[in-house]
Amino acid sequence: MDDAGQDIRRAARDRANRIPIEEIEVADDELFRTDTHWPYFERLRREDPVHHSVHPEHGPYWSITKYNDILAIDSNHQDFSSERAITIADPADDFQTPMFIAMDPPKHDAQRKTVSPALSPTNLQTMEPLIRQRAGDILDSLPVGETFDWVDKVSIELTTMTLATLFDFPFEDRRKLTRWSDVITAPEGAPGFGNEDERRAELFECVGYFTNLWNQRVNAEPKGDLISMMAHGEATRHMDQMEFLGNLILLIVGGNDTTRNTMSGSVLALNQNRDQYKKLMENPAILPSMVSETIRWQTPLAHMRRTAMRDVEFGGKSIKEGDKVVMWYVSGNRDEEVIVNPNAYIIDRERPRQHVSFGFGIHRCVGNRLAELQLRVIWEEIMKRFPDIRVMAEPTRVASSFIKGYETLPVMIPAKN
Amino acid sequence: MSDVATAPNPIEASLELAAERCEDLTPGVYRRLFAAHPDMESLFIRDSNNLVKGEMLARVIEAILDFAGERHYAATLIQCEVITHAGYDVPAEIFRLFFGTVAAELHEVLGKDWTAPIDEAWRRLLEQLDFYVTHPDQAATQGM
Repeated sequence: MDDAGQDIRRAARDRANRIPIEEIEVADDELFRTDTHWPYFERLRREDPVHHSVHPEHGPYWSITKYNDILAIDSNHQDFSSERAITIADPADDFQTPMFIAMDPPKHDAQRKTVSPALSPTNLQTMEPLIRQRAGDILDSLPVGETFDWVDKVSIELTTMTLATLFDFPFEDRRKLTRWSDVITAPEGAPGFGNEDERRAELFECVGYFTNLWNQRVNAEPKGDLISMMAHGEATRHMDQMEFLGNLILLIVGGNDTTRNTMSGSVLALNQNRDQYKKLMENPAILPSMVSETIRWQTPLAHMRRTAMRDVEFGGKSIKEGDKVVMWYVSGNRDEEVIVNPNAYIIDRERPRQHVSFGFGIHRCVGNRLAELQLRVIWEEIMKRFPDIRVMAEPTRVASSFIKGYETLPVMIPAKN
Repeated sequence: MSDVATAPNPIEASLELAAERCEDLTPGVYRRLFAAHPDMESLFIRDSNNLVKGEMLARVIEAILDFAGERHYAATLIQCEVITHAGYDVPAEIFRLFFGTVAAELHEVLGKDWTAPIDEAWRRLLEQLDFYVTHPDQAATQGM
């Protein structure tokens, strides 16, 4: 990290410890872009773990910052509903896109069950050779001895290829999936994404493209891809256009952004912790543990939001019916009372799978095993080829308090002597 | 403070004793589980280093401790796990079997220190856990 970066982080820590607790507002995209959110969460966990604040755009909300409190909220879908929205921002009234992650039982359970076979251990075992071959091809095409962007050349490419396979999506058009994913998650005003009308137009293009695929699949025999599963599934076959778009958004973002950012995060984390990189290269058997530790360390989705369905006393606070309740996974994963030495990146820690990055309860990430598989495979293939991948400059981080990730990560693969 | 106030409940006491005597309950618990249900082994096919099995057991034990103590999250978590595991074709009965397997393994590890109060506490606990396993609909159990 350069001097300027260290100064920014020092100033953030100073401010986080100095301002009155009621002024702490963690849903601030800028804190995540500058990677300065950590001290604010530390203070909340210590002094006010169930914290109330008012966001200038999204209004009042509760922040849940401790691991076990997140478990309690995330598993209690009766009192804390996903139905209204799963991010702190409410969807626009005239652009509602229902999706199963933002539904409660019983509809949620039926729709999730329709697509989950595509992500079952058996299906993933079938997919693994293809993912491995593609990972190898991507790595073999990388330049050696010159700086390139790991996010674009590797992370996006591999996760997009995998997503295209899951949808049985025309391979030559696969970067459309990346674009749609970015359109969905880019913060308002982000350069390159136009205004709200232009974004919606791109999303209608997305659902139009997928509707053509749906029409092909619905008239054919059922197959193992996600579109065919939805077209033939009892719980999903009658979805209207907006619900179809909603579930596409869920599957595209879930299958793309999260794994992409953890894959980039793995390179960054190992570079910031060179002793751990050495440990991994010397003992590749700890790779599964390193994958889980990176998923915790990165926490690719910083938060999930619920809405209180009744008045609830929680953590000494009175949460009222209708209140927004935001579970900060990014904070729970650093909870000192639950996770030993949580701020350290330790790839062979005793319980690497002890994290909340996938969420808990009925909405726990349906693609968690696919995410782990892709991370494991890319690193198995990296270790066969390259003894080192060096980060050449600070990454550019996404300005979002929801998607915790990277726009660019400049790296270089050193030439062999 | 009296000894009664500081003494752990029998469930907690049995787990603490087991922790003193057995470094890792994972191999024993899963050996019992797979002996009773060999089909379960395929769900852990990739877990060669026991990370998944170990974490699952750790979470079950934490949930049992929470359930036997302040009940902050365990009841709703069990209901959710029954629902999500149904998506992997894991029937609810497996939860009953798994909790029972943990108790049986503890019984063996504790030997003669598996006392009557511990036995009674586990019997009641398994019965109460089973209620949430067989009633995963939170709407039907709210406020219980």
